[in-house]
Amino acid sequence: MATDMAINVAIDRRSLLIGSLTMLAARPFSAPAFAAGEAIAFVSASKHADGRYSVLLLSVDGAILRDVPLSARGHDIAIHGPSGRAVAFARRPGTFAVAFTTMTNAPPVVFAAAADRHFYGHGVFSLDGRLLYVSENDIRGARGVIGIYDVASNYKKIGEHPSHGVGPHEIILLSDGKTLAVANGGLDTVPDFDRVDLNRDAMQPSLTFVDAASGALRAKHVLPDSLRQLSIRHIVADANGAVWFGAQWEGGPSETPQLIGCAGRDRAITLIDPPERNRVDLKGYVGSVAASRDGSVIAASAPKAGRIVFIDSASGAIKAASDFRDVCGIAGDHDAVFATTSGFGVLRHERPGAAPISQAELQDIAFDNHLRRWG
Amino acid sequence: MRVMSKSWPQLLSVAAISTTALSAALIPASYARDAESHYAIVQRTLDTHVLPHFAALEATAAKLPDAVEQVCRTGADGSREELLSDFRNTVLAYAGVAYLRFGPLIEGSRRERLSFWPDPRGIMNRQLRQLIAASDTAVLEAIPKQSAAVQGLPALEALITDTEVPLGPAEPAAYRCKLAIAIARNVVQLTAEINNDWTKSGGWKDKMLRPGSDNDAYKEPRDAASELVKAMLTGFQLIATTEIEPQVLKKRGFDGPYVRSNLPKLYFRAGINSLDAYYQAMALEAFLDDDKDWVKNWTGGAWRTLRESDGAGGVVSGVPKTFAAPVRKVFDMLIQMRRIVVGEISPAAALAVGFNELDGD
Repeated sequence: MATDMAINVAIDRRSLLIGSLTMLAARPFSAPAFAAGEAIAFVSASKHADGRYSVLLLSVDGAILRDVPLSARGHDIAIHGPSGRAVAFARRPGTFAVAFTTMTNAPPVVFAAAADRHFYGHGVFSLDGRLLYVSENDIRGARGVIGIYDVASNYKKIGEHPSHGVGPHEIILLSDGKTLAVANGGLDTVPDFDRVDLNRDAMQPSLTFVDAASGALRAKHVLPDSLRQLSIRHIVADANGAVWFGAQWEGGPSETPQLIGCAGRDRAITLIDPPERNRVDLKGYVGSVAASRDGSVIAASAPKAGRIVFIDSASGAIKAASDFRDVCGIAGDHDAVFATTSGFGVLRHERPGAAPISQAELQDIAFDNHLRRWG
Repeated sequence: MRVMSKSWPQLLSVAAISTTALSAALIPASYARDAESHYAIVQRTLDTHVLPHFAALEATAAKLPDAVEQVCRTGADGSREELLSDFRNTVLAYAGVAYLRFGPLIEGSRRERLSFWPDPRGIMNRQLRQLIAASDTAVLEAIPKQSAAVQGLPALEALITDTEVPLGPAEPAAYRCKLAIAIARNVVQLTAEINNDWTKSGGWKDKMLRPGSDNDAYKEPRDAASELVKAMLTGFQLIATTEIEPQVLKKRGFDGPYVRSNLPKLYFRAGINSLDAYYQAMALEAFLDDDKDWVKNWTGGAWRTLRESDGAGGVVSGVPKTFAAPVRKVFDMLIQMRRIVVGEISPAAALAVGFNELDGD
């Protein structure tokens, strides 16, 4: 491992800690959710040991403050901090979404994809919180769309834009408040065959920039033909407005392209190309990307490799990497600290290139793909 | 539910200790034993199951071009029956490896090129019609460069089962015959490449049996054994969601795999039989503690149900009809088998698979 990487101690850190960890009781769902001093810090979809699924609202140290049940596996959560609203989405190719608020005790609102549409697991609020944009599939047409929902009308669908690609996955609103960036993963699925990818041999992923008001295509970036099986799935904007992505390689095992790159409205896609000493094997799958609070560091999680990679957004250089088994959820916390979660119920805080700051382990919980900082 | 939390400052001083010394001190005694077990699992499963199944696929596919040529030359009923038999054997051999979606099978989109199914958008039919309409002889020399949908067994099935323009010596079938032969040769080529990539010196078998720091796929025996566990879980999931669930939900237009050749039930049986043998070859239940007998009892019952089912609500030959399991039960058994391997069996073998690692999106 290169010297500018994180120290990778060749042991399971969890096993080192296990003997002295303090056991704390989680807050049951029925308890007052937002007692004084119990600020919500993070949100994540999760699976419980008894097989049920929910969205967990967590304190900074991992205590469960609220547990919002889901009828099936969730994926990501869109959050509008000022209004205290959040929406959890079914994962691909699910059709439900659950909206809830932390401002009142109002019950969650469940809404569904329209006929001949399914969700891809991601969405984003408009800056004013009045609209929700959701990545969806036109099942019959095999084309990606951005569903537009009116929050005030209990999330009634009021329109849709084309995503200008196939298989839109994560969708984000850029800081101008007017432009949506869409990761069109290129994979076609239909609910009848669950998560089976129907077009892996012919996929054409892209990163598109779409006018949020009109749906007009502002820019579209595609990968060269040799990388057409690199599914662009998760995106985040950095401090300078560049959009960073983490991808999933759907091609053969003999090729292992870089999975992380960036682009801008007026800047073509570039993949990070670290020097040999800094190459990190991510096993073909980046599950989530996040930016530090100041946007200077991009973090990408790779659950198959059990690794997190930290990248300097200005130079594109890998700053550090750390090992964390089954890590996937990742969110910028304070300063340059990231919060990360795993499928083994671990919430960890760490700073690039340093030993983890803290770690909490929730028993009987598996954190799903994405972790979001509340607010 | 409980929460454990701990800050790390004391670990900073620990990290200053030599990594080597720390590792030696803290690696559990079971590590070497696990590594040995994992190596044995991989070797046994490859030798007794995986490699023979890929070899069988190559062997059955090898008969297809001659069988197609014979039908095209004679149009005789006997030749036609022989071709359908060879085709059926190849499809069923493929069903026996369809879940082994790692290594050579997924290189260069071979799996999709070999068996483009499911195909709910009818891509194969549409593209095959276009090829026939164009009747471009250049295509015959370039099948591997065509869309995956028309390169493999589904396209070959469409040609050899077409009753409106049956393959034979008559002129209307001339281009179809050439196309069918070219596709059959492509199937032979694909299956041979897959088998060769498994067995050649330095191939995927060697890769799985020689993990190490210079191995780009498997650093430890555990990595290779985990790959095999994931393939097993893929098998349960695939059969459940692509073959059984559409029947449970009564999906309109669902017609199962290779329905033109009336193979959905046999395809299901071939998949289950292979998965059953694979499960036995891995023998992970041997790692369960004595107090986990309930797991063995449960899986024994589940396998009995799966072995007796025809995958369509009926039973296999020789089993009383009163034992027939509804497709809903078969679906549940497959999903629950997957869960019990994830939750109980693979952890017992020190092969726990992460939630996101297994099925992230």
